[in-house]
Amino acid sequence: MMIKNVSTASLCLVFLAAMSCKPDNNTNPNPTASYEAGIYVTSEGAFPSGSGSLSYLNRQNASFVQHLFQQANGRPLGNTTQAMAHWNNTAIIVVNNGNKLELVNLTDFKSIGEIGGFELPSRIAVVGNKAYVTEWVSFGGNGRLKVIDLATKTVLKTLATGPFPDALLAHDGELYIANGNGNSVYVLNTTTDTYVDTIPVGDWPNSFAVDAGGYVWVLCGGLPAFMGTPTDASLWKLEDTLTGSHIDLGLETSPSDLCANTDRTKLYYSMQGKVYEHNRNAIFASSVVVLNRNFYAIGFDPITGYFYGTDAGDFNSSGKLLRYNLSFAVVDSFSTGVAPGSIYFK
Amino acid sequence: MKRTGFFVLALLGCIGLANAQLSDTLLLSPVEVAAPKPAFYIGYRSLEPDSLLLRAMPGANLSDVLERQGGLSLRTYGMGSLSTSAARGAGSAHTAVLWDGFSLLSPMNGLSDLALLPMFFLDDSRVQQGASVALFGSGALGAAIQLGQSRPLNSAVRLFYEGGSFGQHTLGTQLSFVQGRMSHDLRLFSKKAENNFPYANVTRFGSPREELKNAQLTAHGVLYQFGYGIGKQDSLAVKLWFQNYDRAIPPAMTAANATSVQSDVALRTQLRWMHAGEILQWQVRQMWSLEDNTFVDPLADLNELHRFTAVISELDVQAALTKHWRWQAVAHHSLYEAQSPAYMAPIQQQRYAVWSALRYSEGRWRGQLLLRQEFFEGKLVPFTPGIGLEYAVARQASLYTNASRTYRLPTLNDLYWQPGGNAGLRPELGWSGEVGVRQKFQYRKQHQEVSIGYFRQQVNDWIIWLPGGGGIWSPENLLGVSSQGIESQLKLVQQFGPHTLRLQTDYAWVKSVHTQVGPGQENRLNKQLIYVPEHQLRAQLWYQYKRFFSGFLYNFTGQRFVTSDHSDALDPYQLNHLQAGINTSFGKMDINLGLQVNNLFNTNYQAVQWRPMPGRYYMLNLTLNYK
Repeated sequence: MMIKNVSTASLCLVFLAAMSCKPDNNTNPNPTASYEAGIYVTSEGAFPSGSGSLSYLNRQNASFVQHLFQQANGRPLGNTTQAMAHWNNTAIIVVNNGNKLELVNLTDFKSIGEIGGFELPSRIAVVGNKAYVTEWVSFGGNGRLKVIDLATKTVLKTLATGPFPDALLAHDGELYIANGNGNSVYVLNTTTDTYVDTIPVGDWPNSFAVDAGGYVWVLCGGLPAFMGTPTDASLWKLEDTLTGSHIDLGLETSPSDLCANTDRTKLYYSMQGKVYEHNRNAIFASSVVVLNRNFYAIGFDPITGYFYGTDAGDFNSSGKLLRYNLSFAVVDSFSTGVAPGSIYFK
Repeated sequence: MKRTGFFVLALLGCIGLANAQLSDTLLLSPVEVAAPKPAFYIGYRSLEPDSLLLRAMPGANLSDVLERQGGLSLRTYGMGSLSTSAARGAGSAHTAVLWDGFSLLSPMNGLSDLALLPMFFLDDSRVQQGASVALFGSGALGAAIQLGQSRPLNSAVRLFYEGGSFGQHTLGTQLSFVQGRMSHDLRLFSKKAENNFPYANVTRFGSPREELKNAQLTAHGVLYQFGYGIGKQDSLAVKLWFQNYDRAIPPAMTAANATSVQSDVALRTQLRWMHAGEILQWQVRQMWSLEDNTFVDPLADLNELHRFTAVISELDVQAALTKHWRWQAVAHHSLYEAQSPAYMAPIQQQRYAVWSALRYSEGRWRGQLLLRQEFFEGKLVPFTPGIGLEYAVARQASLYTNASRTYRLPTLNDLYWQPGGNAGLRPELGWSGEVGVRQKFQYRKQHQEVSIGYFRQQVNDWIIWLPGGGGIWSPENLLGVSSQGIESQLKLVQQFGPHTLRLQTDYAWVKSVHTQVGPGQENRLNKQLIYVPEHQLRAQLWYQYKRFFSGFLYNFTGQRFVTSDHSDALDPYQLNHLQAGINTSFGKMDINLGLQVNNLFNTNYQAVQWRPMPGRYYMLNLTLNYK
């Protein structure tokens, strides 16, 4: 009798557990909402095989959707979601390990297809009807740049890059490509889609910004010690397309995420758990720290001038998007997907 | 549809209960293992694979069997892919895996891949649960998997072939030779599998049906053991185990493709001298092993060899002090050497330990006191005591309790990985305790066993890897984890005429939460650990009629969170398997023919997020035994 009771109790417990499934995701987050303008955060997902996600913040009413793509489409974006851009009313989301671009209607955020055939796509820039997409191809060799005709969704051209191309900037008829595991920047004419320059910079360039004078700045992380003899991190101002002057930022400091404020008089970057402010006319490394926080991505909203940063926490739980006002006082924060790695403003 | 399996099991379970009366004639003969079983572990629960289960799947690996048997929570990345175990809400590196008492855990990452342990090489594979397993040392925090081979009793030849869906072929041969005091046992094993099963990729536009890529596996192995009796009380045993597994690493559903392959080569030898006197027994034993892991990924431009060698030596003395008191003392030394591209230089690590056990047994009472002291990196690991008590409240029922301190040493990767390794790490420390009751009942042809126990355990200074300011990940002693749970087992055997029914269930409720977190990790506080299901049930219903047998196996695994803040979770799943076999004899030749229908209801599930698992698939096997 006792045996029977024990067994029955066990089975009942399991039955109750089986009944308490996770509630289904809402596949129609808000049928009347539109996602055509706002702040978009792409999250990479948990390492190594988690799925990326995309979060959306409406800057007008601060409404926030944590997993917009999942909710609108009933499936995840893929591993790992790296970046976003837009063309007309279509969002283009780069899924790195998924080797694809996911195309989404910005009105309802429903997927309208994908463009495949990439090898580890990483960053995207849209110029006119063309998308420029960098590919790592592999972690050891040179990468590639693909030029995509967005109207026909076909590849117009494929160009070689240096190793690990991981930052792009479209500026003044040219496209700047940072060879992330090298020490140079390639410059492409976006009319002819041919390279016009190779600019030597510091080791491991990782981000670009443009200042009020129209100068392009490049932030270089420097070679870390585990890769050999370490080299200084550096901030480069490209005075012309052939050379640049630079400011040393020290060994093993690994700065990243260079960006400019709205009037482009000041540059900002993350370094060792702090956000530094650099006046565009300064010739020495800045000691001005505006925030003491380790962000995974940062950026300025060109419309409101607010500063945004993402915090990836332990990389195994929801990250955070934090919004700061013009005085760098936090306004509010929102939960994103795991490892929020880029912020896109539209 | 998902719950169909549950109702079928419940129905069959009730039938079995209503007719409970049986014998255990289905059990194979007790296995004689060359290394003596631990005699000093009072109060632990031991789960052994069902003999029919093993007969029905001769080409399986340990992970396949444990998935059906229960006792542990598995994290399996796919067919033949990496599989690790977690016990009582702890992590993958918190279960000891022991070969005749020698640890098979890698000193580099603290893990043992259960998919690399072919059952054909293992006659003994039991899961021990209980605080007393802490005596096995680092990493034994609630469970240990004991592996071993039996010494052949007769000369015999065994040959089996198993083949089935997704290009799976396994071939094994065993030659046993016994002459006088000497015995030889040679086993050869070869496996090949494509593992290219179809699945619906729900992560892609339109959920296309895809075939798993880059999942093939080839494996070869040889095991040889030699035993020799010297006089009446001494014996010598030598074992040699070599195997080579080449596995491609399939992509997650969320990734487009994968190109990585992994080769795991293991060479293990064991030498043991045993003396079994009337009062004094002693053993001198040593294991030497070399394990290579080569990881090649053209995409990542990686071709890396990670290698370790281990030399583990032990002197074990046991004595019957009086009629009621027994004593055991063991001196232990481990020498590990490891090399990896991630280490600045080859690493050598030595560990010394002494442990002792004192056991008392009289009348209704049994008790034990366990003491262990380990020295690691020139420092004392905190002293590890344990105590166990068992009281027979009736002839067929007993109460038990156990408590022990536990610890886990940081791995070589934790200490020396570049970049990020932290040489200042402390051992994880904790304690574990339990109480329970077990009952055995035998009446004519009816056999019943039931046990139920409650456990609690705490682990402090749990090591976790976290990113630093420069994006470099580094391990720190930051977490505290508290676990509690209820484990119950039920076994009913009933015989009526030529028909035999056996029902066996293993249910666990486990609550394992973070009680201490580091800065910025508050969102995991008091939350269940990832990939630890709160509810888990394994059940087997076996039917045997003369030379025919069949079994229905059921697995319920509850919801598992995959992010530490519980923002994402995997749904519960139920798996059902059907197995059947028939046996016949021609003179000295025994022939077994077996069939498996795995994942009977074609359940779509994930054991690890976004890792595809196969739907329904079939396996057929033929075993020839000649004595």
